[in-house]
Amino acid sequence: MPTSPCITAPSTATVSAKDWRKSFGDHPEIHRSGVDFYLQTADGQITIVEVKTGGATQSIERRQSRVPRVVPTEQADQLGFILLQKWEGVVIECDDESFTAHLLDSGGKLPPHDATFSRSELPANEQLLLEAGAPFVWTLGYRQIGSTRERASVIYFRRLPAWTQKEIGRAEENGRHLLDTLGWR
Amino acid sequence: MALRAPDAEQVSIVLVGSLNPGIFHPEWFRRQGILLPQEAEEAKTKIVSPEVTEIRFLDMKLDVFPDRLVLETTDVSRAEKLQDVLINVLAKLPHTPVTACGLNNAIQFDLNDEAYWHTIGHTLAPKELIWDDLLEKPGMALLMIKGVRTGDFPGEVNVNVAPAKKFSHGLLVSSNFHYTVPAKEGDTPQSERVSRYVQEMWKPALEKARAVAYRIFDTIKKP
Repeated sequence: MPTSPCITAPSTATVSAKDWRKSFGDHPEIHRSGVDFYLQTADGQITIVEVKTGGATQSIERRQSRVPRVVPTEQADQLGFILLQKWEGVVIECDDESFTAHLLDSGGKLPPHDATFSRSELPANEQLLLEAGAPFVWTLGYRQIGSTRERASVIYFRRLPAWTQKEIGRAEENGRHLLDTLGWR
Repeated sequence: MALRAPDAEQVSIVLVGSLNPGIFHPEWFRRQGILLPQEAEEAKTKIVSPEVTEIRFLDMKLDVFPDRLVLETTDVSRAEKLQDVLINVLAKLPHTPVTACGLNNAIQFDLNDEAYWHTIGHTLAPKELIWDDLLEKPGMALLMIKGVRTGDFPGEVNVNVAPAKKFSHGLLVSSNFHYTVPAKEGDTPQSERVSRYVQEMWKPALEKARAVAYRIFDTIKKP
């Protein structure tokens, strides 16, 4: 079985081994690895061998044990998105047909503005979350499916958990500290 | 001049700690309100077991092992959705010991220019000083640069630059915002800090790989 050990970065990094490519085609395909590597059979089946760290994140502290995991190659690279622009929005008002939102450029380069969207821009699941004050993300780009590429506009609402009492308390404490700093009474 | 968009991108969040892979079933996500009923029904379950779980939902892939959780997607339009799912998981499992967290982004550019591709490699890793005399046609296979991150969440920033396999003459830039969770007394990790870390550092983590790539393109001109 031909083997191709490849490199990945520290233990909380996940760039898959398939993404690396050597810079000259006539080099032997051997990379030294301290963390992960994979074995690839002639029929394309990949077995990733993960070298567990026992909680340590530095490769020099590694305690090795190997856990094989089979990954079907057909799952790779099925879907991609080429991001051109991202807006962070908050719904100002909505009705049965449309909703209006205030938009901020996620990259901070374009000025903020308001826009009105048709409800039909939202998938059915997302329409359930539509209400005034709801934060959402609007991304524009190209969706890549295999070798085809199409323009895409994707809107979805944020689904962050509700504030905890601890977080509310911390915010109040920060507010009091800010008030004290400003000296407003 | 408009900055070119990456031709492929992958984002992920990794938790290292003590996890129970067996609970991460789509039904659990539905019951916890993390997934809507239809989203849970559409999820694809490859395996859910005490040793390993692999499920897919919302164009994301979740792998869970007893010591590691990886949530990733190649659909970068979902980046904030992935962040929300992870934050919700942490909120529902507040007592899970998490010892480290990584915020990862890997972007690839199809340079479609072999000369420029070599120029980048030779500039980032010069061959004259050491390699030309020792190797025939030495080429940069991987450049790993490690930096530190200060502030509320001190840790490492690991950046890799490498040729991208996806393209004949492509460039891959990946960044890893690594955070080792500080421990309380008795070595218990302050896992509650992880949620704030993900909330506050996700955006800068996603911007780092782009910043590196654009600095490379800006600094190393086409021959």
